Amino acid sequence: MADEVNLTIDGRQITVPKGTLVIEAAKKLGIEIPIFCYHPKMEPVGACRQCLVEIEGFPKPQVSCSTRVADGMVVRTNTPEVKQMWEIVLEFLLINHPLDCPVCDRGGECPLQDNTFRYGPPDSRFEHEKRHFEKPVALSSLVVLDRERCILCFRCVRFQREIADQPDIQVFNRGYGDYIGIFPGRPFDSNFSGNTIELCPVGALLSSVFRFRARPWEMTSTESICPNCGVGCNIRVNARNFRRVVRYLSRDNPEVDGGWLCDRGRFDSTFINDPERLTKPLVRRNGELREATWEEALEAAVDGMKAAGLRAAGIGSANRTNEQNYLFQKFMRLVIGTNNIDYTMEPMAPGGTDALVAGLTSGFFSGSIRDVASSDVIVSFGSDISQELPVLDLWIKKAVRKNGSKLIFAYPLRAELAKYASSFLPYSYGKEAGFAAGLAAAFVGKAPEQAGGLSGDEIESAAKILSEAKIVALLVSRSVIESAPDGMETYRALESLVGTLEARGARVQVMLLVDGANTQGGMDVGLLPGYYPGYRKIDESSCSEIAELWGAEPPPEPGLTGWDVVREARNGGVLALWVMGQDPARDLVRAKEIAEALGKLDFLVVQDYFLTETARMANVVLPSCTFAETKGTFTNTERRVQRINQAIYPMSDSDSDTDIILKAAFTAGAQFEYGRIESIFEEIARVVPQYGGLTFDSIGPFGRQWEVRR
Amino acid sequence: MKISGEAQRRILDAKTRYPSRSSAILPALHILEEDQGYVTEEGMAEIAGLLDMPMSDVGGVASFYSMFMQRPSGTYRLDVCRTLSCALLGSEHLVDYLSEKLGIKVGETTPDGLFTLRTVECLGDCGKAPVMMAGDTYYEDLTPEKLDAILDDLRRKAEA
Repeated sequence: MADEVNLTIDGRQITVPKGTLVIEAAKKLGIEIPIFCYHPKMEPVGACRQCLVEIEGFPKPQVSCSTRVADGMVVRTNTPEVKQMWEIVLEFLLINHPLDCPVCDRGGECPLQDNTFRYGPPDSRFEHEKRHFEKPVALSSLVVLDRERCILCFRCVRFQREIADQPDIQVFNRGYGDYIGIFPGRPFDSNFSGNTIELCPVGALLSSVFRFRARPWEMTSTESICPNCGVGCNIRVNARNFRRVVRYLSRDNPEVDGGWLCDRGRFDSTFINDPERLTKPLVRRNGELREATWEEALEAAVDGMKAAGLRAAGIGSANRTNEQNYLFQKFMRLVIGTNNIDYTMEPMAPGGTDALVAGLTSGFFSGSIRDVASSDVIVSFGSDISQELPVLDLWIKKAVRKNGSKLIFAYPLRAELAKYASSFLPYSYGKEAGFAAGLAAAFVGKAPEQAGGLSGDEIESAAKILSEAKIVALLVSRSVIESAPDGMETYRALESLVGTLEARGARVQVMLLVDGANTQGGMDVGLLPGYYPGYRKIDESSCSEIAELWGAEPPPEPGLTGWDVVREARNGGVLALWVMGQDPARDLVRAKEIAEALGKLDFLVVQDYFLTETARMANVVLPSCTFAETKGTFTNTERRVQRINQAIYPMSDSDSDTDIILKAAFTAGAQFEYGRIESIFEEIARVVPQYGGLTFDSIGPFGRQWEVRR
Repeated sequence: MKISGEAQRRILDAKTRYPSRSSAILPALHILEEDQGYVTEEGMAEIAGLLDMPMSDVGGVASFYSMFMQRPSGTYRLDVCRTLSCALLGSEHLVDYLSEKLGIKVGETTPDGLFTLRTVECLGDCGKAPVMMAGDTYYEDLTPEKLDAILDDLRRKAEA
């Protein structure tokens, strides 16, 4: 076949696709060739010369990382000459390397050490003074550079250019004096700078958070999920002595993160072992929060909530696990006896949540992150993805820059992705519905004069791009449906737009963008006042259905939303509130209003890691565990259910949110019995139809998307 | 100091003359050096803006070419070649001679701001070695006596 090439490596035949690099062909045969600069996700440069091999017919050795295969090629990696070349290159690389491995963070997980161990010379013939640089140099508040250790592979420079497109670092000077640097006074200010630390094959680029904290061989590594945003990047949690989390590393999930992490996620590991963490339950006595036993605290919490009768409410969390949120809503419904449950305290559009649920249950929102890579047109509506879901921004940049996909970026502000857009549509805040309707109308040739604060021409230019699309990825922020003023209208307009596109033969994948690590899961498992778990709209039949599944009847009437609770608290409509894992009193937009409402409550229970603003107002504070101290599942923005595993022991007396709820239920005399976290997940899989058939084991290390039928 | 309007125009003109914007960095740096006497950080940042290139790229190119002045320099830069042909004909003695006469080391500038002494690699004029460049002018077959005359000449020019 013309697209395939036969070649021989070390006497072994292999057939690979045309254009394959020699090193990749060798890898397929299990033949290892040492590398430094080569990285399969980046363009080869042949900078380090470590991967030299002999190829018959070439007078000189060739770099296997940038030589492509040819038919009949004969490659040798196992001759004495090749071994000698590898040794010589290493001897050169080590001439200026300080060999300060005992104090180097990378020591023990260092490709330069490993390659030297396997292929390098046992000693050096270099007897002169090594090259010196001022070190370490802070490239930013997060990344520190030791230029003496650098072997100039340029992986970092290439990553920032090819992948992140934030080219803050570059090679400075020339020849012997080469070094990686920043422009004077311009720090390495990238959303993804931490990846360069992980890519660095030596100890040159270092994390200011991790530096000198641990030796690689004394750390445990636990597979988990970054709790920072809705992308749900796969991570490894590195910890010491099962007590202290020292860093997160990437864990390549090709469908989710492609092996990259953003800085916001990567460097946010320090909160876990923060000395300010709550370690003991607190109960307010004589106006002051004082330490108490778990029994006292739980009893006070349950009594206080029960005293409010029907005027109680609960707020779950977008960064707690499915298991925790599921138990929380079950506890609120069955034990406290209220459907006043939500995952947020932000105001919702009338019908906004219903629109969202309609989209999720009808299969309208069935898109995936990987759709971005296979679309010729990407439409992003309502999210500053670079800030809200940073790693998704990398998918979009790659699609636009490498695949030539077109981006229609609709967002009120000129955010970073506007630069990549074929059509940037800065509609006005609050006019989402008008904008969406305008776009849908323009697409069927009825362009309005203006819509959503945009001119007809702007709308029409976007419609024109869409009209030429064959495969469309439409990314819709939860906020434009749920919290913008006319969410339901926006949703209808999008439905009609997608309908028209599909009628014209385009394939459209719509993905809902949610911001929190488990916003999606929270909604799935029932953190909604109008819906029982699994998006069962609260009515008589769903009530009896749930009663059968639970063996106890939940309240039959829809409850108050989080924002209703804020309003009702002010006039006595809600008297007691239980908040798990949120700090609404520090809400970015409405902190004052919410804090004022919380102040009017008779009784407030807060379950959290820290003495937050909300916790300071509470009557009972229950210290809970972070994601690193427990296990469970998160569901990300593409409805992928992913597993987090316990990396360290709980801090002091803090307890996991599931255990807290179970103990609270027990205190209240309820029968909540689960042997293990897995048992809770098993119940979720029984109760939430979307999770039907999933088990902890079948989810696997890279998660499983729940199915939506269209 | 801002780049002068004239220099800005020339940089924008350079931008149109190459298939890739990055190629215009080098001429832009020459224009900057002419305009400000050396490649100032502020000027390089401005070039990055004018060419729509990352600042790190402009800085990287400027640092690659060692003949760009990175610091304020004298009115005349005395660039003495130290590569093979010139070296064989004693260019290092000429450097020592200049250094002593001007009272500065290589890389330094005289207190009156007139001369900066530097050594450079091959100036491509080996047939007339040893060779030195001052500004855009080549001085060939150098001897200490010739250097005396050149310095006097340049001093007179500067006064005029």
